[in-house]
Amino acid sequence: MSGNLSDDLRQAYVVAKNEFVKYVRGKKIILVGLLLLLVWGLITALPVLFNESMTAKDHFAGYVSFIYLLVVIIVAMFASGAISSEYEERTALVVFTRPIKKWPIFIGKLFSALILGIAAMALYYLMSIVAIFAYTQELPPNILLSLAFAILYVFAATGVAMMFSSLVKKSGTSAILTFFFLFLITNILYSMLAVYNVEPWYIIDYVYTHISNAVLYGTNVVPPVSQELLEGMTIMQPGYDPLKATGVAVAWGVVTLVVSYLLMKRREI
Amino acid sequence: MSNGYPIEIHGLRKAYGSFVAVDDLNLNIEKNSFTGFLGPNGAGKSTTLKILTNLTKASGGNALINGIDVNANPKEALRGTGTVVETPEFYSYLTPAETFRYIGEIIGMSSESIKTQTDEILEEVKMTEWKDNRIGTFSKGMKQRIAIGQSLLDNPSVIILDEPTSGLDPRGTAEMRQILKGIRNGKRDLTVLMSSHMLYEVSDLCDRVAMINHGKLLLHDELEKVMFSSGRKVVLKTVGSIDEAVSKLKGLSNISDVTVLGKEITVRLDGDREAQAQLMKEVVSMNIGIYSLAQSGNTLEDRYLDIIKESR
Repeated sequence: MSGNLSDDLRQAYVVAKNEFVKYVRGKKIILVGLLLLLVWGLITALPVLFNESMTAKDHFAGYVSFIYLLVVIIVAMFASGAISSEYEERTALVVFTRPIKKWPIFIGKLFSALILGIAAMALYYLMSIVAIFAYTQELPPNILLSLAFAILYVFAATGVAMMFSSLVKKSGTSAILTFFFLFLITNILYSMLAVYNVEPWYIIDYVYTHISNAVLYGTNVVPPVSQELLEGMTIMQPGYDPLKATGVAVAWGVVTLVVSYLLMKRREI
Repeated sequence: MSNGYPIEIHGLRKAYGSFVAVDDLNLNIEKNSFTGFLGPNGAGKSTTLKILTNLTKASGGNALINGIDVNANPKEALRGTGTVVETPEFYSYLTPAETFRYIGEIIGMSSESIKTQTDEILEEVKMTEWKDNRIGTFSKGMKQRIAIGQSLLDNPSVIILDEPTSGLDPRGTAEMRQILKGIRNGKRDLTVLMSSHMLYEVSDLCDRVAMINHGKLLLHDELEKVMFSSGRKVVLKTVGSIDEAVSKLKGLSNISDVTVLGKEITVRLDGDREAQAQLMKEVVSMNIGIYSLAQSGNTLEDRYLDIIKESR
């Protein structure tokens, strides 16, 4: 039994290694690298050009405000093609007919997509910290907590991307669905529920809000508040709860990954 | 359950809604045979091979490789099995050597073994020259040679081929047939099950034939028996008088169904190769101007068409 498991894990490692080779040799990784550099470059250069006096916290707010979009683009580019590409490009006919279970293939692909997303986030944070320190000679508080939420968001978003990847035939369709789901659908739900005075803590976007709020609130809990937006119209300002946000990210990640795996397992050629 | 055959299919069934692709199929493939798996489009060949290679789950029955149920334990069943299903694609960013390493690592081969076998197999499939070029730039024929090559990794005891020459140009088809002949005649201890629409290819490569239609087995036997079960079709060409030749041939005891087309006479010979040799002697002694006597090249095709027609 343990021999079987160790062989399955060894195979998952082999699959993950091949995925990395795919990412490294593909053009997508260069595009993601350029995107990170462009976003970082603009946020770094513009305050300097306009001679804006900013604190480390203000600076950091600028950097983290685009993480949402970066994560969505990264998972749409990588994780959304992880499963579908095997069917679309017919490589499944070679790999899936080998003595390997489906789950080591799934885990290998998930692992590589996650590592890539986490590495991109870590690099972006490192670049941001260097720039902030160079500009203000100080560091904003709770950077690591913010990074932890960014990583949790990567995990949850990767689950969504892989779910679409297991569901549809083409990687392009999966990428579009991932992008629109994370960028539009959940955003609309999150905003509309807030308008109806419901705290949308169960929407994946709740995790994203913690990436920037971590700098402000650290490990404290801030309850949701109902704010008056216009006369007679109130809107729910979602709270800040690190534990709840962690749970939401883990739940989104685990549920979507389980659905993704089951879809892949049932999928036939 | 297992009867010791490398491939065993018991009561196999696969239904897609109300359409039954494979219907209570029973088939045992003999050890060390090269079996051609024939049938018209939609007969259930590919579905059967996909079930055997774990690409599709059966709705009922069992498919066993080396005694292990593919449905219940695909990983163990496919250990020691090489496959080429349809026209597979490979990761375009890998070279053939890297592809073999990837598949070898999945199988669990040692690095040394992967390296040795990669060199040997690439030589065998005539791809050594392109060993370090990325597959993305390869033609269909080259990719198909890589497909055959990867199926040989780790010295499998069973190889399953689903139309290995499908979509190849005549040169690619001929090259692939040569490679398959090399594999058949090589020193490997192999059992091969190959589906194909190319009846010439099957009669050239296989020693056994299984035919299916509507998901059911129609026939499974030695190629020779299938081809000549209702006699051998022999074509004679003459430069002499057709009428005289036909008349004399009809007088022979083991000849029937004499038909004439131009200067060609086709007869059905009741008997084996020795009977054919005897016929040759007799037509020479008859002195009727026969300059060519050959077995009809369409024998398997004729039998195939007869059997498929009967099954409709």
